[in-house]
Amino acid sequence: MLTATPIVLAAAALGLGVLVGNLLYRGDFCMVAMWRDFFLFRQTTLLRIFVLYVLVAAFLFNLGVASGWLLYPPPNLHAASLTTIGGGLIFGIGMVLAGGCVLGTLYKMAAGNLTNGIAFIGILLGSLLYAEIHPQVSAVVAWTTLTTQVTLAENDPMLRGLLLAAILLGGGILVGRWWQRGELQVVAYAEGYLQPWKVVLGLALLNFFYYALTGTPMGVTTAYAKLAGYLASWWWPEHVASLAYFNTESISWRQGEVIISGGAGPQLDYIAYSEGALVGGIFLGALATACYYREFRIYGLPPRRQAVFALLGGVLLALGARVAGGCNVKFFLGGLPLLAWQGIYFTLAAVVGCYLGSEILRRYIIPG
Amino acid sequence: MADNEQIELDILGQVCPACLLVVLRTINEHRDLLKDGAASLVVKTDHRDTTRTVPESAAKMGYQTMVRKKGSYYEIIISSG
Repeated sequence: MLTATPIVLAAAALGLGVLVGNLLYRGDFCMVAMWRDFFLFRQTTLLRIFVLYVLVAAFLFNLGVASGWLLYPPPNLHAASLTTIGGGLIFGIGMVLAGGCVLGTLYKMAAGNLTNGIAFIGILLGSLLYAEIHPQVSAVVAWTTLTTQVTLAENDPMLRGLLLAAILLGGGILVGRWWQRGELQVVAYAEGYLQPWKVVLGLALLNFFYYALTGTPMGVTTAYAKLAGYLASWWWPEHVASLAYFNTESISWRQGEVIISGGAGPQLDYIAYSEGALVGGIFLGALATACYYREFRIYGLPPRRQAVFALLGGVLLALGARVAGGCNVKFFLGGLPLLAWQGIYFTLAAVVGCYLGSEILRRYIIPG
Repeated sequence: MADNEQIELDILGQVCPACLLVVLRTINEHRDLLKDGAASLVVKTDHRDTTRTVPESAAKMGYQTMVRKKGSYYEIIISSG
């Protein structure tokens, strides 16, 4: 729990990250494919498996909240605003163009894929670009707040309980039917392949442990912005130090007598020990797994058009995540199961973005 | 069909869904040869999910697939059977 010293917190987050990296690599779990393949190929298998994730995570998280193990609402979720929608839209386009979300980019890059490496550079550049416009975006966030509460029925535990019960019951019946018809099973021939339904069960459990450990469900993009700020401070230390974004705490809350806080600034703080360690763990876990199956290899650059769009996609991923105040990891995997308004608005907007991205892909990227 | 023509498609290092879309486009380009059994398409990929998506899509189009691991990547052979 949060009474842990920073080094214990970081070691535990790193360990959870290694397990996440192993799961993601083995199941090649892609949160972009689940929407994009519906738009491009009308395939719904991965979407069904995502429904299973949301149900299991909703059950675990809300059980944890009811038992007092988990902070509610978690301090990294806030009221939704128009920027949640705008950012989600940009993010959705970005993840299709980049060929992966912020997690997919990380674990595939760890296995040696240069296209994802290019997208990762785009994410770092996009984070730096955002730092230049942070004050203006912050003003828009404040002007365009859409909700007064962080989650649906936040102050009404009875109503929230009823809503959750209805979702779990309805969703459970649906998943049970899919299971009986074998629609949650896929056939793949990769060595050590893990069925996606096993991947999401593992992810829900690991996200629960991470939430209990750090006080918030998983997030990754502030750590990317931190890395970008750290690297940029080698070349432009004065400029980085002068930017408001790198001097602002993105998260801060009081735990008993202690104030826990952190941000994107290039220093060791809560974000570095939690998200930073998680990101490092995912990278190492995926790399170790790729090496274990003797699949780590750098094959060279993709066709030029794919490379350009991967870079652009990475920039959009970072811009979208920063404008929305989080990415798909925070909102799909953490916000939705908690019925957070940001999770709901971001997901809807990202799905529309995915549709637009799929159209761009079909028309402009694949033909070359 | 051991001595039929082998059309090779190297998509190593490419990301999804370009992998699947490029394979589908190549299948369509060589549809006549593949359907006649005069050729088979050999796809080289390091993208693990392609070992799920390509066989599934090829089966819907009436083709048979065989997947085998070759060192650090996978070879997917698509043929009329």
